[in-house]
Amino acid sequence: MTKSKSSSKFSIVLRLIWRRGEGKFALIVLASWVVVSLVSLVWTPQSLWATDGYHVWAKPSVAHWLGTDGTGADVFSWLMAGARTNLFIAILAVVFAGALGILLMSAMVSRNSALSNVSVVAVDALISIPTVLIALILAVPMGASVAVVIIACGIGYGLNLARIARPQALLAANSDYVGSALSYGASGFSVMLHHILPNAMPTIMVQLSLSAGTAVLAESGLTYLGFGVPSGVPSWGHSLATSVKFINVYPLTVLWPGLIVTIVVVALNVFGDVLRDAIDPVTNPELRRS
Amino acid sequence: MTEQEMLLIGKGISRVFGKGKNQQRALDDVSVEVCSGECLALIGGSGSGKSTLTRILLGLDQPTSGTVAFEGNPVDGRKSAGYQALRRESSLVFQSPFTSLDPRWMVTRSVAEPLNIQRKRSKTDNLDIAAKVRESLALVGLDPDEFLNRYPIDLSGGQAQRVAIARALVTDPKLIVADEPMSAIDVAARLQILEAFAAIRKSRPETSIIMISHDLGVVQHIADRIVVLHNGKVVESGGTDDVLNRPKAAYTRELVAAASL
Repeated sequence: MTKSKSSSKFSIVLRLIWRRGEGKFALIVLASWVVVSLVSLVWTPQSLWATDGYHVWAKPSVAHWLGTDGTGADVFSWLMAGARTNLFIAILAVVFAGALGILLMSAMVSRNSALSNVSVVAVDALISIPTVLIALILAVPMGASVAVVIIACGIGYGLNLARIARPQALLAANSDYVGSALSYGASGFSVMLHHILPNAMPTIMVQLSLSAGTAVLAESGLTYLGFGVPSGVPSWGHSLATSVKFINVYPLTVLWPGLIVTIVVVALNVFGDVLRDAIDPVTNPELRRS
Repeated sequence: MTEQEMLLIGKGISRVFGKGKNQQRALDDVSVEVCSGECLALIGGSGSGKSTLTRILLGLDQPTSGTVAFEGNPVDGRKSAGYQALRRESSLVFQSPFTSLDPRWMVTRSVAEPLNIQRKRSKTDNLDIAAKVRESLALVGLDPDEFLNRYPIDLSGGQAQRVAIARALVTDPKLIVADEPMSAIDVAARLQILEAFAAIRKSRPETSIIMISHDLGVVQHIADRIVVLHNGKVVESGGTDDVLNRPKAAYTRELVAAASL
């Protein structure tokens, strides 16, 4: 019964997102991203390593749907394969940022004043370090890798999340319903899990979806700078970095990855907003009636 | 009445906030007793120490000096028998009905919360929580079938406050503390709350109530005894009729005169 209830709520949330134009756009883009990533694991139109020295910087054709790059490799196949790397990075960066952000937010609204004061100061100090600098520091021992992008984004966005979600969490922590739960003997952990976190969740959801979009952008930027995805691993950042030098001569090869990154980032940003409105019973009367 | 028959006793309670020059005495040598089944009203102006006294009586704050005992057990820190008994046997009703209910929880979950917490703490599983929730809602005049699955945003102020009272009742507490439960709602809804408290007193005569209020009309209807606080001190206490109709202290006379304006 509980399962059918939660599945009906899921279908209501999905319907509400689909009903809005921007929600439809976000769902289509994100679903396509996931499908393409999965398909790329078993099939791409051309082998990633098949290069054709006679057809470098080729225009779109039947054989090469989006043309070829400077090595004669198929651009479409590399973008397909890059989708899975970027999806992997976005998911892990969001999970890392979410875990770190929620942990720090919990410390910042803790009833232990020493812990909350120290964590507020620590977050305020650490948030001033840019994500690129964190990646640079990590790249020294780890070298350019996917892990550098994930950890740097996770730390940067986790700190940001903690700071942005804190006011909402603080509002719940100081509320009478939390006071009531504590007066009945509820533990601090239980109050955090059942009251504070769900009430901060709308802010957290929006922030995490923005973080996913920013992680896609960061991957491109860090790979371009040489701290991100190493050469040979397909990613949208890699596709941009290898072709950007030739933008004046072969603009199409830069256009495709740039366009995909832009569309996905916009979809992720929009998705956070529509998801927040759809899953929050306070703003969604349909969910309350279900 | 002997000390053993008293439900809650606070003796010589003082509470000082701040240090040095910023020191502020919120309570000064206040003594209060609550008998089983009685409704005691704490009245006084803003900053008179009503809420501070209540927090101390409930063990949620520590007095600078003085003692509190619940059912004869001292309330002295979280591990004390008195504190543990207070957590089991007391309930709070807050001023604002909307901030006292989690906006993302349905009525059924909010009302059941105290029982769920107690079940977890005592590790017992023999409670019929659903039946207790329905019983509590019915007692405060809300139809369980209509209200169980509503969210606070779909309730009026009076309905939300009655849900909060139902939550306070669900554990069958020996003591209910209501912190100005009628001050944040409209006049029509106040009547519903008064009726809810009257119903509690009728159906559960053994339950004691501490009602904090500055509304003497409300106090007159519901309280057996009144304690008047002013600047952290008890200026007068006695039966409701005596205090309201034959006030001795000048401050009480001022309050009564202001209420009759």
